[in-house]
Amino acid sequence: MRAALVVAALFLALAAWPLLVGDVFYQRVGALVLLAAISASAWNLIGGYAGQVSVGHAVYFGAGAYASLMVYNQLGWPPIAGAPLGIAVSLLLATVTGLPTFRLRGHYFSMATIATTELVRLLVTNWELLGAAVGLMGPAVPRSVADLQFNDPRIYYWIFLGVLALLLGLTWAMQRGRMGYYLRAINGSDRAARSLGVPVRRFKLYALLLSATFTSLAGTLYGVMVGFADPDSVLGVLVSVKMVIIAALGGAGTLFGPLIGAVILVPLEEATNAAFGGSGTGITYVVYGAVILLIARFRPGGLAELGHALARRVRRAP
Amino acid sequence: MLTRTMLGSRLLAVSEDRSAAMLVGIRPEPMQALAWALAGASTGIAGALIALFFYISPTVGEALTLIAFITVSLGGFGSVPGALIAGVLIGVIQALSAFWAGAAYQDVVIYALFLLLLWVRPQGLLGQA
Repeated sequence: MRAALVVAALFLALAAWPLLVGDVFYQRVGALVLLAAISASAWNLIGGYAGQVSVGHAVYFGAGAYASLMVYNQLGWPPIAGAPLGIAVSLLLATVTGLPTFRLRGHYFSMATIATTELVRLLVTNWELLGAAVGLMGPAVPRSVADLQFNDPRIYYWIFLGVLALLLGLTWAMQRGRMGYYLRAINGSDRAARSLGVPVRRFKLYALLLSATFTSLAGTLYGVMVGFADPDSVLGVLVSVKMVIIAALGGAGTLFGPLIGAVILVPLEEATNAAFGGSGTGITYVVYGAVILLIARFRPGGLAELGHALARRVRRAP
Repeated sequence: MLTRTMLGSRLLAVSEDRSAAMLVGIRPEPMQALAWALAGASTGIAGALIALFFYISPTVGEALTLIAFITVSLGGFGSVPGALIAGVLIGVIQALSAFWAGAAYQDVVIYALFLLLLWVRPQGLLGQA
Protein backbone atom coordinates (compact mmCIF):
# COMPACT_ATOMS: atom_id res chain seq x y z
CA MET A 1 0.00 0.00 0.00
CA ARG A 2 2.74 2.40 1.01
CA ALA A 3 4.77 1.37 -2.01
CA ALA A 4 1.81 2.11 -4.28
CA LEU A 5 1.51 5.60 -2.79
CA VAL A 6 5.22 6.26 -3.30
CA VAL A 7 4.99 5.13 -6.93
CA ALA A 8 1.91 7.29 -7.54
CA ALA A 9 3.69 10.28 -6.01
CA LEU A 10 6.75 9.59 -8.14
CA PHE A 11 4.68 9.56 -11.33
CA LEU A 12 2.83 12.72 -10.36
CA ALA A 13 6.17 14.40 -9.73
CA LEU A 14 7.44 13.18 -13.11
CA ALA A 15 4.29 14.43 -14.83
CA ALA A 16 4.60 17.83 -13.17
CA TRP A 17 8.32 18.26 -13.93
CA PRO A 18 7.97 20.12 -17.27
CA LEU A 19 5.47 22.52 -15.69
CA LEU A 20 8.00 23.45 -13.03
CA VAL A 21 10.89 23.94 -15.45
CA GLY A 22 10.38 26.79 -17.88
CA ASP A 23 13.47 26.21 -20.03
CA VAL A 24 12.66 24.40 -23.30
CA PHE A 25 16.11 22.74 -23.27
CA TYR A 26 15.41 21.01 -19.96
CA GLN A 27 11.93 19.99 -21.12
CA ARG A 28 13.48 18.41 -24.20
CA VAL A 29 16.08 16.64 -22.08
CA GLY A 30 13.20 15.38 -19.92
CA ALA A 31 11.48 13.91 -22.97
CA LEU A 32 14.75 12.24 -24.07
CA VAL A 33 15.20 10.82 -20.56
CA LEU A 34 11.77 9.20 -20.74
CA LEU A 35 12.39 7.86 -24.25
CA ALA A 36 15.67 6.30 -23.10
CA ALA A 37 13.85 4.94 -20.04
CA ILE A 38 11.26 3.26 -22.28
CA SER A 39 13.84 1.49 -24.43
CA ALA A 40 16.03 0.56 -21.45
CA SER A 41 12.99 -0.78 -19.55
CA ALA A 42 12.08 -2.81 -22.60
CA TRP A 43 15.65 -4.17 -22.77
CA ASN A 44 15.37 -4.95 -19.07
CA LEU A 45 12.65 -7.54 -19.76
CA ILE A 46 15.01 -9.85 -21.62
CA GLY A 47 18.42 -8.58 -20.46
CA GLY A 48 17.54 -7.99 -16.81
CA TYR A 49 14.74 -10.31 -15.77
CA ALA A 50 15.59 -13.22 -18.07
CA GLY A 51 19.34 -12.57 -17.91
CA GLN A 52 19.80 -12.91 -21.68
CA VAL A 53 22.06 -9.98 -22.52
CA SER A 54 21.18 -8.51 -25.89
CA VAL A 55 23.69 -6.10 -27.39
CA GLY A 56 21.60 -5.62 -30.52
CA HIS A 57 18.41 -3.99 -29.39
CA ALA A 58 19.12 -1.14 -31.81
CA VAL A 59 17.68 -3.34 -34.55
CA TYR A 60 14.19 -3.17 -32.98
CA PHE A 61 14.58 0.52 -32.21
CA GLY A 62 15.69 1.13 -35.79
CA ALA A 63 12.84 -0.97 -37.20
CA GLY A 64 10.38 1.23 -35.31
CA ALA A 65 12.04 4.47 -36.36
CA TYR A 66 12.37 3.47 -40.00
CA ALA A 67 8.80 2.13 -40.12
CA SER A 68 7.42 5.49 -38.97
CA LEU A 69 9.35 7.41 -41.62
CA MET A 70 8.66 4.77 -44.29
CA VAL A 71 4.87 5.01 -44.03
CA TYR A 72 5.21 8.79 -44.24
CA ASN A 73 7.53 8.78 -47.25
CA GLN A 74 5.91 5.96 -49.22
CA LEU A 75 2.23 6.26 -48.32
CA GLY A 76 1.94 9.76 -46.92
CA TRP A 77 0.47 8.48 -43.65
CA PRO A 78 1.25 10.15 -40.33
CA PRO A 79 4.52 8.68 -38.94
CA ILE A 80 2.91 7.20 -35.82
CA ALA A 81 0.93 4.86 -38.10
CA GLY A 82 4.20 3.03 -38.72
CA ALA A 83 4.17 1.59 -35.20
CA PRO A 84 2.40 -1.71 -36.13
CA LEU A 85 4.73 -2.21 -39.11
CA GLY A 86 7.81 -1.61 -36.93
CA ILE A 87 6.52 -3.98 -34.29
CA ALA A 88 5.79 -6.68 -36.87
CA VAL A 89 9.29 -6.43 -38.35
CA SER A 90 10.80 -6.45 -34.85
CA LEU A 91 8.86 -9.55 -33.84
CA LEU A 92 10.07 -11.32 -36.96
CA LEU A 93 13.69 -10.34 -36.33
CA ALA A 94 13.41 -11.31 -32.65
CA THR A 95 12.08 -14.74 -33.57
CA VAL A 96 14.87 -15.33 -36.07
CA THR A 97 17.54 -14.41 -33.48
CA GLY A 98 15.88 -16.00 -30.48
CA LEU A 99 14.66 -19.37 -31.72
CA PRO A 100 18.03 -20.92 -32.60
CA THR A 101 20.07 -19.31 -29.81
CA PHE A 102 17.84 -19.87 -26.80
CA ARG A 103 18.56 -23.60 -26.87
CA LEU A 104 22.31 -22.91 -26.65
CA ARG A 105 24.32 -21.94 -23.61
CA GLY A 106 27.12 -19.40 -23.57
CA HIS A 107 27.39 -16.18 -25.48
CA TYR A 108 25.55 -17.26 -28.61
CA PHE A 109 22.48 -15.11 -27.99
CA SER A 110 24.48 -11.92 -27.36
CA MET A 111 26.61 -12.52 -30.42
CA ALA A 112 23.59 -13.35 -32.58
CA THR A 113 21.93 -10.08 -31.55
CA ILE A 114 25.04 -8.14 -32.58
CA ALA A 115 25.28 -10.05 -35.86
CA THR A 116 21.59 -9.46 -36.69
CA THR A 117 21.87 -5.76 -35.95
CA GLU A 118 25.04 -5.30 -37.99
CA LEU A 119 23.49 -7.31 -40.82
CA VAL A 120 20.42 -5.09 -40.87
CA ARG A 121 22.48 -1.92 -40.53
CA LEU A 122 24.65 -2.86 -43.51
CA LEU A 123 21.60 -3.77 -45.60
CA VAL A 124 19.80 -0.52 -44.75
CA THR A 125 22.95 1.49 -45.50
CA ASN A 126 22.91 0.08 -49.03
CA TRP A 127 19.15 0.13 -49.63
CA GLU A 128 17.94 3.11 -51.68
CA LEU A 129 14.29 2.64 -50.68
CA LEU A 130 15.24 3.23 -47.04
CA GLY A 131 17.34 6.27 -47.85
CA ALA A 132 20.62 4.31 -47.81
CA ALA A 133 23.39 6.11 -45.90
CA VAL A 134 21.60 9.48 -46.08
CA GLY A 135 18.59 8.43 -44.04
CA LEU A 136 14.91 9.32 -44.13
CA MET A 137 13.13 12.55 -43.18
CA GLY A 138 9.75 12.99 -41.54
CA PRO A 139 7.22 15.71 -42.36
CA ALA A 140 8.90 19.12 -42.23
CA VAL A 141 5.63 20.93 -41.47
CA PRO A 142 2.75 19.23 -39.65
CA ARG A 143 -0.18 18.55 -41.99
CA SER A 144 -2.57 17.73 -39.16
CA VAL A 145 -2.46 16.90 -35.47
CA ALA A 146 -2.03 13.23 -36.42
CA ASP A 147 1.53 14.00 -37.56
CA LEU A 148 2.37 14.68 -33.91
CA GLN A 149 4.72 17.53 -34.77
CA PHE A 150 4.86 19.95 -31.88
CA ASN A 151 7.21 22.79 -31.08
CA ASP A 152 6.47 22.23 -27.42
CA PRO A 153 8.59 19.32 -26.08
CA ARG A 154 6.21 18.92 -23.13
CA ILE A 155 3.62 17.15 -25.28
CA TYR A 156 6.19 14.52 -26.25
CA TYR A 157 7.17 14.31 -22.61
CA TRP A 158 3.64 13.38 -21.55
CA ILE A 159 3.16 10.93 -24.42
CA PHE A 160 6.41 9.19 -23.46
CA LEU A 161 5.44 9.19 -19.80
CA GLY A 162 2.17 7.48 -20.69
CA VAL A 163 3.95 4.76 -22.68
CA LEU A 164 6.53 4.32 -19.91
CA ALA A 165 3.77 3.98 -17.31
CA LEU A 166 2.09 1.33 -19.46
CA LEU A 167 5.35 -0.58 -19.90
CA LEU A 168 6.28 -0.42 -16.22
CA GLY A 169 2.74 -1.45 -15.27
CA LEU A 170 3.01 -4.47 -17.57
CA THR A 171 6.46 -5.31 -16.19
CA TRP A 172 5.13 -5.04 -12.64
CA ALA A 173 2.24 -7.38 -13.41
CA MET A 174 4.63 -9.81 -15.11
CA GLN A 175 7.05 -9.67 -12.20
CA ARG A 176 4.32 -10.76 -9.80
CA GLY A 177 2.87 -13.40 -12.07
CA ARG A 178 4.02 -16.81 -13.24
CA MET A 179 6.19 -15.39 -16.00
CA GLY A 180 8.17 -13.30 -13.50
CA TYR A 181 9.01 -16.36 -11.43
CA TYR A 182 9.91 -18.34 -14.53
CA LEU A 183 12.22 -15.61 -15.81
CA ARG A 184 13.96 -15.25 -12.46
CA ALA A 185 14.44 -19.02 -12.33
CA ILE A 186 15.91 -18.94 -15.85
CA ASN A 187 18.18 -16.06 -14.86
CA GLY A 188 19.35 -17.93 -11.74
CA SER A 189 20.10 -21.18 -13.49
CA ASP A 190 18.97 -22.22 -16.92
CA ARG A 191 19.54 -25.90 -16.21
CA ALA A 192 17.89 -25.94 -12.79
CA ALA A 193 14.84 -24.12 -14.20
CA ARG A 194 14.55 -26.69 -16.99
CA SER A 195 14.83 -29.58 -14.57
CA LEU A 196 11.93 -28.11 -12.58
CA GLY A 197 9.79 -28.10 -15.70
CA VAL A 198 10.02 -24.45 -16.72
CA PRO A 199 9.55 -24.18 -20.50
CA VAL A 200 12.82 -22.24 -20.73
CA ARG A 201 13.04 -21.62 -24.46
CA ARG A 202 9.43 -20.56 -24.77
CA PHE A 203 9.57 -18.06 -21.94
CA LYS A 204 12.90 -16.58 -23.06
CA LEU A 205 11.24 -16.03 -26.43
CA TYR A 206 8.14 -14.46 -24.83
CA ALA A 207 10.35 -12.06 -22.90
CA LEU A 208 12.31 -11.19 -26.04
CA LEU A 209 9.14 -10.62 -28.09
CA LEU A 210 7.64 -8.34 -25.44
CA SER A 211 10.93 -6.51 -25.16
CA ALA A 212 11.24 -6.10 -28.93
CA THR A 213 7.68 -4.76 -29.17
CA PHE A 214 8.31 -1.93 -26.75
CA THR A 215 11.78 -1.15 -28.08
CA SER A 216 10.24 -0.83 -31.53
CA LEU A 217 7.54 1.44 -30.14
CA ALA A 218 10.26 3.60 -28.59
CA GLY A 219 11.91 3.74 -32.02
CA THR A 220 8.67 4.88 -33.63
CA LEU A 221 8.24 7.59 -31.00
CA TYR A 222 11.82 8.67 -31.68
CA GLY A 223 11.07 8.84 -35.41
CA VAL A 224 7.95 10.89 -34.72
CA MET A 225 9.72 13.32 -32.39
CA VAL A 226 13.04 13.75 -34.19
CA GLY A 227 11.66 13.30 -37.71
CA PHE A 228 14.91 11.85 -39.01
CA ALA A 229 16.62 8.47 -39.04
CA ASP A 230 19.88 7.30 -40.58
CA PRO A 231 21.69 3.99 -40.08
CA ASP A 232 24.11 5.35 -37.46
CA SER A 233 21.64 7.25 -35.31
CA VAL A 234 19.06 4.47 -34.90
CA LEU A 235 20.85 1.22 -35.84
CA GLY A 236 24.36 1.98 -34.59
CA VAL A 237 26.13 -0.07 -31.93
CA LEU A 238 25.98 2.90 -29.58
CA VAL A 239 22.16 2.75 -29.54
CA SER A 240 22.25 -0.86 -28.31
CA VAL A 241 25.04 -0.20 -25.84
CA LYS A 242 23.18 2.78 -24.42
CA MET A 243 20.18 0.62 -23.47
CA VAL A 244 22.43 -1.93 -21.77
CA ILE A 245 24.36 0.70 -19.84
CA ILE A 246 21.30 2.63 -18.69
CA ALA A 247 19.64 -0.55 -17.41
CA ALA A 248 22.85 -1.85 -15.82
CA LEU A 249 23.59 1.50 -14.17
CA GLY A 250 20.18 1.72 -12.55
CA GLY A 251 19.96 -1.99 -11.82
CA ALA A 252 19.14 -4.68 -14.36
CA GLY A 253 16.22 -6.88 -13.40
CA THR A 254 14.60 -4.26 -11.17
CA LEU A 255 11.40 -2.41 -12.03
CA PHE A 256 12.69 1.16 -11.72
CA GLY A 257 16.38 0.54 -12.39
CA PRO A 258 16.29 1.61 -16.06
CA LEU A 259 14.34 4.78 -15.24
CA ILE A 260 16.92 5.72 -12.58
CA GLY A 261 19.75 4.96 -15.00
CA ALA A 262 18.16 7.14 -17.68
CA VAL A 263 17.61 10.01 -15.23
CA ILE A 264 21.33 9.98 -14.46
CA LEU A 265 22.96 9.15 -17.77
CA VAL A 266 20.90 11.06 -20.37
CA PRO A 267 21.26 14.53 -18.76
CA LEU A 268 24.98 13.79 -18.32
CA GLU A 269 25.25 12.98 -22.00
CA GLU A 270 23.24 16.04 -23.06
CA ALA A 271 25.34 18.24 -20.76
CA THR A 272 28.64 17.01 -22.25
CA ASN A 273 27.21 17.44 -25.75
CA ALA A 274 26.12 20.99 -24.92
CA ALA A 275 29.37 21.84 -23.15
CA PHE A 276 31.75 20.52 -25.81
CA GLY A 277 29.58 21.12 -28.85
CA GLY A 278 30.14 19.09 -32.01
CA SER A 279 33.75 18.35 -31.12
CA GLY A 280 32.71 16.63 -27.90
CA THR A 281 30.39 13.91 -29.19
CA GLY A 282 33.15 11.38 -28.55
CA ILE A 283 32.91 12.19 -24.84
CA THR A 284 29.72 10.11 -24.77
CA TYR A 285 31.78 7.00 -25.51
CA VAL A 286 34.23 7.90 -22.75
CA VAL A 287 31.37 8.28 -20.27
CA TYR A 288 29.83 4.96 -21.36
CA GLY A 289 33.17 3.19 -21.02
CA ALA A 290 33.75 4.63 -17.57
CA VAL A 291 30.25 3.62 -16.45
CA ILE A 292 30.77 0.04 -17.69
CA LEU A 293 34.07 -0.24 -15.85
CA LEU A 294 32.75 1.20 -12.60
CA ILE A 295 29.62 -0.98 -12.56
CA ALA A 296 31.50 -4.15 -13.48
CA ARG A 297 34.16 -3.55 -10.85
CA PHE A 298 32.17 -2.26 -7.88
CA ARG A 299 28.41 -2.78 -8.24
CA PRO A 300 27.41 -5.51 -10.71
CA GLY A 301 23.83 -5.05 -9.48
CA GLY A 302 23.76 -1.36 -10.39
CA LEU A 303 22.51 1.51 -8.27
CA ALA A 304 19.49 -0.50 -7.11
CA GLU A 305 21.87 -2.85 -5.28
CA LEU A 306 23.65 0.14 -3.75
CA GLY A 307 20.28 1.49 -2.60
CA HIS A 308 19.36 -1.84 -0.99
CA ALA A 309 22.74 -2.01 0.77
CA LEU A 310 22.31 1.52 2.13
CA ALA A 311 18.75 0.82 3.25
CA ARG A 312 19.92 -2.28 5.11
CA ARG A 313 22.66 -0.30 6.84
CA VAL A 314 20.25 2.46 7.85
CA ARG A 315 17.81 -0.11 9.24
CA ARG A 316 20.59 -1.82 11.23
CA ALA A 317 22.04 1.42 12.61
CA PRO A 318 19.55 2.35 15.39
CA MET B 1 50.61 -25.97 -24.99
CA LEU B 2 46.93 -26.68 -24.38
CA THR B 3 47.09 -30.45 -24.87
CA ARG B 4 50.67 -31.37 -23.92
CA THR B 5 51.49 -29.39 -20.76
CA MET B 6 50.26 -29.33 -17.17
CA LEU B 7 49.48 -25.63 -17.54
CA GLY B 8 47.26 -26.32 -20.53
CA SER B 9 45.38 -29.04 -18.67
CA ARG B 10 44.77 -26.66 -15.78
CA LEU B 11 43.49 -24.02 -18.19
CA LEU B 12 41.10 -26.45 -19.84
CA ALA B 13 39.96 -27.72 -16.44
CA VAL B 14 38.94 -24.22 -15.36
CA SER B 15 37.21 -23.65 -18.66
CA GLU B 16 35.26 -26.88 -18.36
CA ASP B 17 34.10 -26.56 -14.78
CA ARG B 18 35.28 -23.77 -12.55
CA SER B 19 34.16 -25.23 -9.23
CA ALA B 20 35.40 -28.73 -10.01
CA ALA B 21 38.79 -27.26 -10.91
CA MET B 22 38.87 -25.45 -7.57
CA LEU B 23 38.13 -28.75 -5.79
CA VAL B 24 41.28 -30.33 -7.21
CA GLY B 25 43.39 -27.38 -6.17
CA ILE B 26 43.50 -25.14 -9.24
CA ARG B 27 42.99 -21.45 -8.59
CA PRO B 28 40.79 -20.21 -11.42
CA GLU B 29 41.74 -16.52 -11.36
CA PRO B 30 45.38 -16.91 -12.49
CA MET B 31 44.27 -19.31 -15.20
CA GLN B 32 41.66 -16.89 -16.50
CA ALA B 33 44.18 -14.04 -16.34
CA LEU B 34 46.65 -16.19 -18.26
CA ALA B 35 44.06 -17.00 -20.93
CA TRP B 36 43.26 -13.31 -21.28
CA ALA B 37 46.95 -12.44 -21.51
CA LEU B 38 47.67 -15.10 -24.14
CA ALA B 39 44.63 -14.08 -26.19
CA GLY B 40 45.55 -10.40 -25.90
CA ALA B 41 49.18 -11.04 -26.86
CA SER B 42 48.24 -13.12 -29.91
CA THR B 43 45.74 -10.53 -31.04
CA GLY B 44 48.44 -7.89 -30.54
CA ILE B 45 50.73 -9.83 -32.89
CA ALA B 46 47.90 -10.03 -35.42
CA GLY B 47 47.45 -6.27 -35.08
CA ALA B 48 51.13 -5.62 -35.71
CA LEU B 49 50.98 -7.83 -38.79
CA ILE B 50 47.87 -6.20 -40.22
CA ALA B 51 49.59 -2.83 -39.99
CA LEU B 52 52.03 -4.04 -42.67
CA PHE B 53 49.44 -3.97 -45.45
CA PHE B 54 46.29 -2.27 -44.11
CA TYR B 55 45.46 1.28 -43.09
CA ILE B 56 45.22 1.84 -39.34
CA SER B 57 42.70 3.90 -37.40
CA PRO B 58 41.57 3.81 -33.75
CA THR B 59 38.63 1.60 -34.71
CA VAL B 60 40.52 -0.78 -37.02
CA GLY B 61 39.81 -3.75 -34.74
CA GLU B 62 36.10 -3.08 -34.30
CA ALA B 63 34.87 -4.96 -37.33
CA LEU B 64 37.23 -7.85 -36.60
CA THR B 65 35.89 -8.46 -33.08
CA LEU B 66 32.62 -9.96 -34.21
CA ILE B 67 34.27 -11.71 -37.17
CA ALA B 68 36.70 -13.35 -34.73
CA PHE B 69 33.84 -14.70 -32.62
CA ILE B 70 32.03 -15.92 -35.71
CA THR B 71 35.19 -17.64 -36.94
CA VAL B 72 35.70 -19.46 -33.65
CA SER B 73 32.08 -20.54 -33.43
CA LEU B 74 32.23 -21.77 -37.02
CA GLY B 75 35.29 -23.84 -36.18
CA GLY B 76 33.87 -25.00 -32.87
CA PHE B 77 34.69 -23.53 -29.46
CA GLY B 78 37.87 -24.93 -27.96
CA SER B 79 39.00 -26.55 -31.18
CA VAL B 80 42.41 -25.33 -32.35
CA PRO B 81 42.34 -26.90 -35.84
CA GLY B 82 38.69 -25.81 -36.15
CA ALA B 83 39.64 -22.16 -35.65
CA LEU B 84 42.39 -22.47 -38.26
CA ILE B 85 40.15 -24.08 -40.87
CA ALA B 86 37.30 -21.66 -40.14
CA GLY B 87 39.69 -18.71 -40.33
CA VAL B 88 40.80 -19.68 -43.82
CA LEU B 89 37.22 -20.42 -44.83
CA ILE B 90 35.90 -17.07 -43.57
CA GLY B 91 38.72 -15.23 -45.31
CA VAL B 92 37.99 -16.94 -48.62
CA ILE B 93 34.23 -16.41 -48.32
CA GLN B 94 34.77 -12.74 -47.50
CA ALA B 95 37.04 -12.23 -50.49
CA LEU B 96 34.74 -14.12 -52.85
CA SER B 97 31.58 -12.33 -51.69
CA ALA B 98 33.34 -8.98 -52.01
CA PHE B 99 34.12 -10.00 -55.58
CA TRP B 100 30.69 -11.38 -56.53
CA ALA B 101 28.30 -9.24 -54.49
CA GLY B 102 30.28 -6.06 -53.93
CA ALA B 103 32.52 -4.90 -51.09
CA ALA B 104 29.60 -3.46 -49.13
CA TYR B 105 28.06 -6.90 -48.76
CA GLN B 106 31.07 -8.97 -47.71
CA ASP B 107 30.24 -8.72 -44.00
CA VAL B 108 26.53 -9.18 -44.71
CA VAL B 109 27.35 -12.60 -46.15
CA ILE B 110 29.43 -13.52 -43.09
CA TYR B 111 26.74 -12.44 -40.60
CA ALA B 112 24.04 -14.28 -42.52
CA LEU B 113 26.26 -17.35 -42.56
CA PHE B 114 26.65 -17.11 -38.78
CA LEU B 115 22.90 -16.91 -38.19
CA LEU B 116 22.43 -19.89 -40.51
CA LEU B 117 25.12 -21.79 -38.61
CA LEU B 118 23.23 -21.29 -35.34
CA TRP B 119 20.23 -23.01 -36.91
CA VAL B 120 21.93 -25.98 -38.50
CA ARG B 121 25.15 -26.72 -36.62
CA PRO B 122 25.58 -24.59 -33.49
CA GLN B 123 28.54 -26.62 -32.22
CA GLY B 124 30.62 -25.60 -35.24
CA LEU B 125 32.51 -27.66 -37.79
CA LEU B 126 34.83 -29.53 -35.41
CA GLY B 127 33.19 -28.84 -32.07
CA GLN B 128 31.54 -31.38 -29.82
CA ALA B 129 27.86 -30.96 -29.13
